[in-house]
Amino acid sequence: MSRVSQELLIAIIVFTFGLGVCLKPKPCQAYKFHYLFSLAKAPDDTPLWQPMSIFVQEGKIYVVDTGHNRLVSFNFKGEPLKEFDAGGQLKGPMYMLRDKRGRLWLTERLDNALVFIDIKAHKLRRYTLFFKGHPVVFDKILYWKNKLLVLDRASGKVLLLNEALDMERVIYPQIRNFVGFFDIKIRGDWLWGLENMGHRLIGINLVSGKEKILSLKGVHLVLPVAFEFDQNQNVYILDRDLKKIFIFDEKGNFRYSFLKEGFRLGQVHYPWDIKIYKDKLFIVDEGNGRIDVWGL
Amino acid sequence: MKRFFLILFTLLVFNIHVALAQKVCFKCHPKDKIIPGPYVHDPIKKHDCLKCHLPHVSRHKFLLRESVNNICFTCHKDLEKKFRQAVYIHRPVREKACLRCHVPHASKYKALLRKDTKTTCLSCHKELAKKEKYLHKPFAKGECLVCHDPHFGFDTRFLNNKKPDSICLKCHKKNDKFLKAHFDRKDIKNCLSCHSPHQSNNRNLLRPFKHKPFAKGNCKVCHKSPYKGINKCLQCHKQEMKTFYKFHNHLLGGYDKNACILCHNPHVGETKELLVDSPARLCTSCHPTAYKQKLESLYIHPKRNNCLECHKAHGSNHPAMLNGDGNQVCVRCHKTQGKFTHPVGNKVLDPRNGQPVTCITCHEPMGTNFKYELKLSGEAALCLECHKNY
Repeated sequence: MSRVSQELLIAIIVFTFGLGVCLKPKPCQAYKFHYLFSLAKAPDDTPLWQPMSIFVQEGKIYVVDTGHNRLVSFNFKGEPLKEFDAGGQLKGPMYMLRDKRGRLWLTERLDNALVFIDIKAHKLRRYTLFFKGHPVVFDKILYWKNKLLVLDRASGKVLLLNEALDMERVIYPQIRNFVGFFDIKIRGDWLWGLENMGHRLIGINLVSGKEKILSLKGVHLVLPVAFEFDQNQNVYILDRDLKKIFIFDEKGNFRYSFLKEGFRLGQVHYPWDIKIYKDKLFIVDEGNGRIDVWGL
Repeated sequence: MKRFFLILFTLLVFNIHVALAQKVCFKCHPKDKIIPGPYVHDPIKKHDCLKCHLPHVSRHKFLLRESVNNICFTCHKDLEKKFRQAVYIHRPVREKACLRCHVPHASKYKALLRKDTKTTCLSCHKELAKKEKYLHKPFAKGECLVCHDPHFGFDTRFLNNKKPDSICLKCHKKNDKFLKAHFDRKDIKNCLSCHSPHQSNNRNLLRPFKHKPFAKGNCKVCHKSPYKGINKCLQCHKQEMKTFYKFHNHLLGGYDKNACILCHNPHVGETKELLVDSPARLCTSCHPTAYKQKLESLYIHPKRNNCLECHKAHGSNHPAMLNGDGNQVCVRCHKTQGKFTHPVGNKVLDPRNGQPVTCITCHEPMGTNFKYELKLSGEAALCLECHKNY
């Protein structure tokens, strides 16, 4: 091979390698989850009934078993640990969280209350709040920098409360035609919300007030009720009516969907909520009375 | 040059063949019987019987080239294209039963209809045949197609415009009379929520049920109310707020705008709940899969068109916002089924998910392809879901 040809070949190899480095695909591949096991029974062997949400912390999964007015904890092997109903005082718990001091905050629908429970101190208090003269209809609840973020189902806005439950701020995007949030999630300082019957996620930075809109394209959603992000910024949208999870990339382009309607393990009947924690996807299925755990 | 003459010769032979063909057809099928009216189907006009029929043998009825259901689409490609894309397809079109409304050769009526438009439409839409005091002019004249598209639609009403108001405003110009009737409001919209498009016993074709303050002419109650948004409604209907304190509800966000009027009309309505539309249409506007399921099902619950028979509109503690659990909601009407049936209730658990067996474990009243709205065939498949060793 002549010297010129050799140089040309080297140049081509270097160029191709450089191009490969420049155009290297970002690690945005959506996870491919597969079914692992289900959380379906409390320690007393009774089946869950209309579970509506979960809360994951310190290696434990807390299931809000709404139909039975109780909370049930599980380990990550799917074994039930304890159940708690505050001495029969819970009335339709919907969502919960444990704050840094281990105290519980719950939202209840039947009495429409925000419930504070300090198990160690044997304390249970119910609160009602008002916003613009209306009783706040308590829904999803999140914890951010020692403060509570509560979604008011009636206004579709998020209330930022301090521990004394003073309303510090009302959070909603300054965009036209905003019709309220249906689900909210916190990622760092960003509060993300899924709009009511909408096809967009709206992000609000709780520190700077900046806003982002992620329009979901490529598929017609019917009743999106919950969403979640994975580590690669892919968005997972749960459609209760279509009984499927739709995955969109970080730009909102539809990638694929999975899940099937049914009663058997891994199938869903009336799914209500999803959560991704580390490498696991939790699907709260109200209709089948269980939480399906999917893993990588 | 030779090629040109060859083509010319072929065309000539073909035309002669067609002309002869039609002559031969009309020998036995007299022209006056085949072509009874002034409106003649294009192939017949061109004496091209062979466009649709074969002269000797065919697999299909009437010696058609294609089945009765498909022959029309061989020429009417535009309809076929829409047929593939449209969500809302008029039932005869969906069933490709063109001959339910049209005749294939000639007709006394435009568009080769079997009968005049009104008779054709009312032959199925019998509920519209009842006479009320005031009739909308196009309806009285039988001009259904002024507002409706007989093949495809933008919603279940098969209106010929995506914006129903545009149809109304084609005839009802916003002149002084119009503005006076609407309190000089130029932004007036959603005509059909107050006016019936066909007939009514009220003047101006107003819907039958009236909101009390509107009926008394006491507009101030709402229009001069110090409250805004949803509070306007809650000032009188305070107790309604509690009906939303359920696990599932239709609180669709926003005190800024009045969310009640998403479903209710503050003036008049077709139902006593003053809904802006019939429950079936109103609900399917947000739940289109329910409509799709109905279309795709052979068996549906007879009361399916009134969603509120089984579902709660404001809030419910049951999935699908049912009016009770999977048993309660059914035994309100099916009384014997609550006592004498396959075991149901909290002590009978579905082996597939460990949940109590209810009526809706096996039945799907929204519609299925199996008798009694069973979820699978009642012959065996359904039972084998749980009774594996049967």
